[in-house]
Amino acid sequence: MTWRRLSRFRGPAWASLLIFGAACSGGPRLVDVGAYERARAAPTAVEVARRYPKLSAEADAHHAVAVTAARAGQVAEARHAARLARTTWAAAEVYVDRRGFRARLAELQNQQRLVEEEISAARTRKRDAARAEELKARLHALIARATALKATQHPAADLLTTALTDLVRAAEFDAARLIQTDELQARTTFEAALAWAEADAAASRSGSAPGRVLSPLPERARAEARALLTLAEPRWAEDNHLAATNRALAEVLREAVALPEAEATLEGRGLVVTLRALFRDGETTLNPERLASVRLVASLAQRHPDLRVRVEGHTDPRKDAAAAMQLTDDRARSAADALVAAGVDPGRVASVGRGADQPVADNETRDGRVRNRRVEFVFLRPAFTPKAEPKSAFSPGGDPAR
Amino acid sequence: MVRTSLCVAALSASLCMPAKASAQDDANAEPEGLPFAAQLLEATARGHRLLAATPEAEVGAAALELLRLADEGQLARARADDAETERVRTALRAQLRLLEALESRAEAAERVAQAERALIQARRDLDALSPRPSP
Repeated sequence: MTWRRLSRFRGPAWASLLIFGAACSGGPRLVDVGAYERARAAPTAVEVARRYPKLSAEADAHHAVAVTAARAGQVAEARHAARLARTTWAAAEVYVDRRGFRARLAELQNQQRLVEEEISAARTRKRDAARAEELKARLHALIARATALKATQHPAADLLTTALTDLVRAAEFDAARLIQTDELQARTTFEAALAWAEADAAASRSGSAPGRVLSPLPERARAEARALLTLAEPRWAEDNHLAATNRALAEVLREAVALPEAEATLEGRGLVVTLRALFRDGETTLNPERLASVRLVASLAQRHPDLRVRVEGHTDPRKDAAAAMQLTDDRARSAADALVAAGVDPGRVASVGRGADQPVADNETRDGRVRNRRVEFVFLRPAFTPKAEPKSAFSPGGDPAR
Repeated sequence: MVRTSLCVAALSASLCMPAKASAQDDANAEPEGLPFAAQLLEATARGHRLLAATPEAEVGAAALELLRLADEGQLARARADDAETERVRTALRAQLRLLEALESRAEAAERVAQAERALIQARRDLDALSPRPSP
């Protein structure tokens, strides 16, 4: 041992001094078996021994040799065995630490997968919203044309205007439905009907053709539209998926609202069942008195095995935001563990702490803070997996009703 | 990190201890392979490299212990003390197992840190896609 080596050691100063002191003195004067016994008596030792029984047994055997040799006055032998015991036990402890990291990694990867699914769903919603805006603009332009047709007192004008307005109203807050209307527009049913009516009105005005010759056309257009809706059904897989998931979540909602001491709401991310007062102040272990509520949620999850559940912990603002995040993370994990313990497939369950970032009530009032301290069990909306689009049943420019 | 792995793997191999074998498998490995003198030189070189390569205190302490054992081994050989030489050999093996465990844990911790960073970025992406209404 030299100063040069010691100076390159980047560990804590006390460790350098300890090692240096031991080196200068040629090692401890006495055989230190106490260090091993203290490590072996630590609360974590049970887990270490359970995970690595062979290493633990090896360390114990070295320790027994050390004790025996020390009693017999064989100092060198005892010192050697004590050192082997400490080193072997330290390796086992480090291996257990590594297992903890691996478990955390699996959990993080699970969370990452869920977030990526949400990102995919959000991108779809965003794309649909943009497309819906474009379609709305097109529909409004058609309505303007139909309104202009009214001035000609053409009999198709009212029918077309009403049909188009109804479409816009029905789809105003529902991008999926508005996108469905695109099927109608893509076939130019309404546009064609409007164009025919406009041509009919123009011909009537010019006297080149009698008015109302084409008046049955709006009826024909509606029949074509119905036929198109039926034939185009397979192409709306995503909309159908949305409708199906809405029905599934509505079924869970119907059961969830009946849960005692729980709130249930249907949101974009899925169905949210909120429980409060699951934990005593500052604790991360479930209050045994509230275990029954969590088990009811677990039972709900088991009745709907196709839905994944993400447990989200929330709290009110604390001085230390990082501590609040850790607290909610631990609580969410504890609640998720309770779901798994109640029989829910662990592959369906994830947990995440949200800290105090997503309040649902005013944190300035006591009641608001109580409401914000909550655990949400989110029955996630399944992501849509697009299939290959079937070949169009329509030939452009052909008779759409064929 | 990689250099540390190489250090431990090379010296483990020299002591006939599979560097990536499980802890249980290592328990009964018998020291063979390179002559002990060469093993001690290797341990000294590896100890110095570990000290220079890693900022982690626990690995540094373990590397320092490795150097101390190498010194002890040289002294034992100089004295032709077979019993002490054998003791150093077994202590070296245990020390290398500890270093391998530390290295493995450090790699696992690094992967966790990477996953945490990726998750934070994914959540940011998600927030950017669907901004939440202010409470």
